[in-house]
Amino acid sequence: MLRVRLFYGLLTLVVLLWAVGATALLLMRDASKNYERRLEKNYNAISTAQGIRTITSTINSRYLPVLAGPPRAEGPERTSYDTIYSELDSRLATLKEEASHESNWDDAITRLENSIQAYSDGYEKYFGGGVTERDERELLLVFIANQTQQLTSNADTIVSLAEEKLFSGTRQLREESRKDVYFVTTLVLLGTTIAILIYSQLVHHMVDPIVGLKHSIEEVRNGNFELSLPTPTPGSEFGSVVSAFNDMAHELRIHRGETDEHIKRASLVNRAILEAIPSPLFVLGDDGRILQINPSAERLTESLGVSGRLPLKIQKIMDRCKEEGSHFLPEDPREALLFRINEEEFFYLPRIFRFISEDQTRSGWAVLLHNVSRIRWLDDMKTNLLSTVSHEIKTPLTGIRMVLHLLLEEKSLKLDPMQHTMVTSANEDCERLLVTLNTLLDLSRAESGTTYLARVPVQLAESLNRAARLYKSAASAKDIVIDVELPELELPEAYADPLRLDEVLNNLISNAIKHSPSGSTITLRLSKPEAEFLRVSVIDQGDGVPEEFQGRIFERFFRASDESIDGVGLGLFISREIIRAHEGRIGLLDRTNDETVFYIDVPIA
Amino acid sequence: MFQSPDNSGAARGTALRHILVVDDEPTLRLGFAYALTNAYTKVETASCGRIALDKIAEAHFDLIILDLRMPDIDGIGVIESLRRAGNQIPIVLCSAALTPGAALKAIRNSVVDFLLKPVHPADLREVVQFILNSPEEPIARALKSAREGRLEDAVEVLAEDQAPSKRSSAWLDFLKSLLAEDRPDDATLSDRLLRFTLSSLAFRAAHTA
Repeated sequence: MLRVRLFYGLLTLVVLLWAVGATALLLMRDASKNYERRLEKNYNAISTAQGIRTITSTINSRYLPVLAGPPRAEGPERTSYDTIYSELDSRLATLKEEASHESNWDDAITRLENSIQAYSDGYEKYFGGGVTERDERELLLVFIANQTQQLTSNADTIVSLAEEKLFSGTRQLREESRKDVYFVTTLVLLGTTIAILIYSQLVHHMVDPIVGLKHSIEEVRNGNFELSLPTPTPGSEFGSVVSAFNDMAHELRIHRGETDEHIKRASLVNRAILEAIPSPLFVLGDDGRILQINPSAERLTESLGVSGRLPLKIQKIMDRCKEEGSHFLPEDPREALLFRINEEEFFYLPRIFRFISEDQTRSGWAVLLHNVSRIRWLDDMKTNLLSTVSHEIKTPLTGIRMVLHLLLEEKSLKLDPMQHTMVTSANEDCERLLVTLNTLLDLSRAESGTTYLARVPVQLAESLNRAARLYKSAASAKDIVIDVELPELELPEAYADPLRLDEVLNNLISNAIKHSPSGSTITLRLSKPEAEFLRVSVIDQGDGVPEEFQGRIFERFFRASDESIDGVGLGLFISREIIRAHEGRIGLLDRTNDETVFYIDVPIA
Repeated sequence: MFQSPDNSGAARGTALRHILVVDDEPTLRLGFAYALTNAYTKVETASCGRIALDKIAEAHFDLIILDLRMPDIDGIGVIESLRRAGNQIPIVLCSAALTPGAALKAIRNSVVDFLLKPVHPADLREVVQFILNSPEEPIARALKSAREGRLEDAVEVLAEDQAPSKRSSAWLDFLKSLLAEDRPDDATLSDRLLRFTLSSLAFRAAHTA
């Protein structure tokens, strides 16, 4: 019970303080009283003894001249002598009263008494009247003078003795007060010792636990839940605090144990998932730093020689995603990126998406590289198969068509109306089948052709001029002018497959011619809208693409409802495939100034 | 526009022509033979490259209509074999899918007439007429020179053409680039061939051109 201890300790201290104060006061009063008494006594003795001299000289001055003079008839008058002498007696009595047990003082008093007796004897003789003679008078005078001197000397002795006693009393007092100082000092020292004791107890029982608690709290803050505070003596006020703290540490320990377990399990599950995903997977922080990659991604980056980093092509897309804050989730395997590993080609479809924690506080990016090499291979197989089958069907079909045409020519034999109807119908089916086959072949060509590009630096200005020349006659048939607009500054070369690029240009221009009113102008414009791309815009003054179709014009077999314009609806699809294979862009701009603008962006060499 | 097969040849007083049709497709062979046969044209057929070479070795032909894709020896194989043997007989290369590489090889071997399948009977008759009767129009003269291996002459004739058709300007561009190439590698030339589109080089009858 610290409170009780503290109380008793301080009580002791207070009692001691009171005791010291009281003792000091008592001692001081005692000493001063003692001093006063001595002073009074000795001062009395001194003044009395000194008074004796005065009295004798008064008596002497009254009577000695008379004694020395001639003897008178009448007897000496003794009234004043008696009066004064009684004074002398009383003084002597006073001195006697001051009796002490000191022998020299008593001796001095006795001698004074004797000398007073002798002195008074001298005067008694004088007053007795027996002394009338001159000689006797002179003798008496001398005697009295001697006695007076004797008396005076004795009185002086008394004075000096008293003085001496006074001094010795002071000395004694001083000694006594020194003792008192020792006593008080001892008491103060005792008090100090008790105070120190109380302090140390206080420190031990109050400060130490608090400091210990503080250390422990800091340890806990640093994550060390293993320590517990020593249990204090029973009944201590800190008992509850310590046990509360220990309970808390214990709970934290348990809690952390659970959390650790949870985290371990979660990370195990996490790793299992990551390892189970066959596709390379990168988990990135919001700043783009890689936080985690799975074994597959490790292998990929190692074989690409960019161990632990995103491959450059992916990094570019990642940067764009970060800039725009958008996902990149292509579905089409044809958007896959090509990686060469040990002379082998691999296609990875990058899927980049941003994830946000449930409490919205953390976010990051995940980059999943979906290996679509197999899909691409199958796709190629399908395309090849399509192509082969189409060719195989087309070959005999050309024979059939030939024969049907010959029959319909009716050169060597005439057909009756029924035969003619049947052969005509067969011929029409044959033509339709051929159109379908040609479409299939175009499609397979679009799909297979875009995979393998022979890319070289290309001067787009030349390509534009060539395309304009090629379509000049077709355009002039509709009274359309093709205008080529080149920038004044020479632009860098594009990096493209020239044949494929021409195909795209031709497609866009022929579309423009198809949809342009006669007498209008088609503009081919070359520009450089950004650092990495050159842009070719094909601008016509036709009616444009109806809004509801704009999102679909690049789809396979899509045709706007205008049936008056021929075509199967593969041109823009093929163009898009080609441009996509170039990692470029193709699109339709919003209609302005009654102009329809298709553009392609081709990467710079 | 064409005479009926039975009597027109005699009426025109033209010597009998021998044409060999080489195709692995029986119906097409039949059709081609029927389309071409008339009083002054005799058509023989071969179903593959080997038989074709055998027939050419045995008899004289004025023209060969040759399929490109065949099971044993393909069209290019037949052409190369004939030219190695010094046979400069005119050949029409007929295919549904003419590849740039094949076209280049053909042109190097003085085969400059291409027909794209499916072939209309009229086209077939006209290409025969075009080659054997050698009309006076510039493209016909130019291709005649090319057929004889004189590409420079062909370019000259085409360059002088005042009103070039799409086909003749395509041929001019192509032949120029073929000659201009110092040491042309096939890939570049194939690219050019494709750029001017093979269909532009191919024969086209007047009504379809």
